[in-house]
Amino acid sequence: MNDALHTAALRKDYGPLHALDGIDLTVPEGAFLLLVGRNGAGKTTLLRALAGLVRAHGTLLVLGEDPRRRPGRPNPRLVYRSERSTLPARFRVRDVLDLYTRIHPRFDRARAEQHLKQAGVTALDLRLGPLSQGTLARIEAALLLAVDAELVLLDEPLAGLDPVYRDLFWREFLVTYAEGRTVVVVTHRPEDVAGLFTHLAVLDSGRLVAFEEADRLRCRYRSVLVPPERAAEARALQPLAVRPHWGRDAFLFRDLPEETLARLGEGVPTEFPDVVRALLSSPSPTGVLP
Amino acid sequence: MNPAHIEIAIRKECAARRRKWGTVPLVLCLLPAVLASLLILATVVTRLAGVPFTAHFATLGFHLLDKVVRESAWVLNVWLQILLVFYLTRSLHGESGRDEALFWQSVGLDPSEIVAVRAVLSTVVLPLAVGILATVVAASLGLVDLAGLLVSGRPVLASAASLLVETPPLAFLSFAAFFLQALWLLPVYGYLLVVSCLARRGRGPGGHPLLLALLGWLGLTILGGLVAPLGRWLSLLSQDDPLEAALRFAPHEIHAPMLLFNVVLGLGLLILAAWFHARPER
Repeated sequence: MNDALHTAALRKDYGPLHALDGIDLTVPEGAFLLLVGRNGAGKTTLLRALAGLVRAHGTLLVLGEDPRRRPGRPNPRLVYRSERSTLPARFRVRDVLDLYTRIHPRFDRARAEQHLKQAGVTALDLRLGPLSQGTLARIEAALLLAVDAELVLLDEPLAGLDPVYRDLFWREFLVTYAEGRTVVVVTHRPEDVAGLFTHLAVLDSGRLVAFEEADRLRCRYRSVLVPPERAAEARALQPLAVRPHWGRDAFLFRDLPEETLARLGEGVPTEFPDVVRALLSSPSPTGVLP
Repeated sequence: MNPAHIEIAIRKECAARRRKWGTVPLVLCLLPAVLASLLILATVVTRLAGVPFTAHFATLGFHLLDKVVRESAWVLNVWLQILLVFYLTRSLHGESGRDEALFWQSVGLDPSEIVAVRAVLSTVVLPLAVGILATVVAASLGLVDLAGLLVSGRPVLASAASLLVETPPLAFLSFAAFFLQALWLLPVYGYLLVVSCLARRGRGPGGHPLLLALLGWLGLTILGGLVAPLGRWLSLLSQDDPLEAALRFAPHEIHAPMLLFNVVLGLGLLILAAWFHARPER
């Protein structure tokens, strides 16, 4: 399987600030990468560098090409969506559809109209200017799903959307759409894509501090329901997180032997957002990087 | 560069901005139309009732209409240039806080195509529209003349034929005049597009495209006082008016080498704008 993305020692500085501080990342084709990190960790800069919108230094290969070799040129093989709507306020929905239909070589208008209908946007003569952020995000999502791209880069694509539509998008639309495509998603709501991602990357202060496959993540991070009398012993083993669970405390551990976990208490399903939160609050876990 | 992409982008751009761009010229055209209607009414009343007041009104109206028509090309031209300054300085900079450049890129428009859309709008589409409007205003005077003749009972055939024969060449001449002027001012348009791109990367005053354009032009003017050829070029750019020469049926008065130089310089600046627009920001 070829690599869809490959970066080595990727750097981007904004004056004294290291937005990207030597990122080494390889994502295989067809992977669904969830990129998490706290505010200012460099997620958006990394995504924009992959999309060719920010000039970064180091090795950078996107679908086998260096985007810096053709600056500004649109690449129909990839789609990039930022959290902020880029749709010009003066256009109507129909104008945007016409422009995509006439210009974009991989755009399927019928599919876009179908997604717009599912998203509740039926009046195509609506001017975009007065529309709410949520409606604009729905339109952007419908346009995205109508482009037959090989690589999809999403930076908080559903910000401002209601939970029902968010669920509809991730569960119904993207599960079908993402098949066979490489997807990179930046979101502060990891639970939205908990069952979808195949790889997880954690950024902190411009550095890649964790990169792991989802299956391995499930094996390494385990939660145990610890009775009060064993709590002190559990705490001594430096859990990543402790959360209340049905009147008791569930401890989250990484890389702890099965027998130790069994001695502490009863195993419970690990909540993926807990793992992400633990990684974000202690962002330099040893031995996580491959 | 794909002409079909440029064509659809221009059509959508014009359709989306038709209210913003169309209001002023419509008012400018409506003014002579209202004046003409009043004039016809006054002439009819004068003819039927022989009221002296309306006769004075008719005379005054003819003078006023004549003045409006004669000045309309100039007024439309001023409006066009103001519109282009605002449109070009903002067009590659982004609009209302939205990253419009990203939208065009997601649609699949090349940076050179984006700049070409702006260039074709400034040099062909808008001058053509203004040329047509100027012709409509001028033709309205002819119609009023005809109406006056009709009311006064004089033969109208010769005037009607003249109006029919003269209007198409007048339209062509108007467009040619505005187009020539656009070519003459191509370096200015190119400069504004370059500034629009640079302002995307600027901070403080450098981040405001209009302010940056004014500061840059001020710098050029000061430099023109020190460097003689630049000063002469700037002076010719503002004084030698091809629009006026073309409207006076005197295209030979246009400084041809300067026109050629301006076209080449303008194209160079457009290429520079496309190059800047393609570079990732920051």
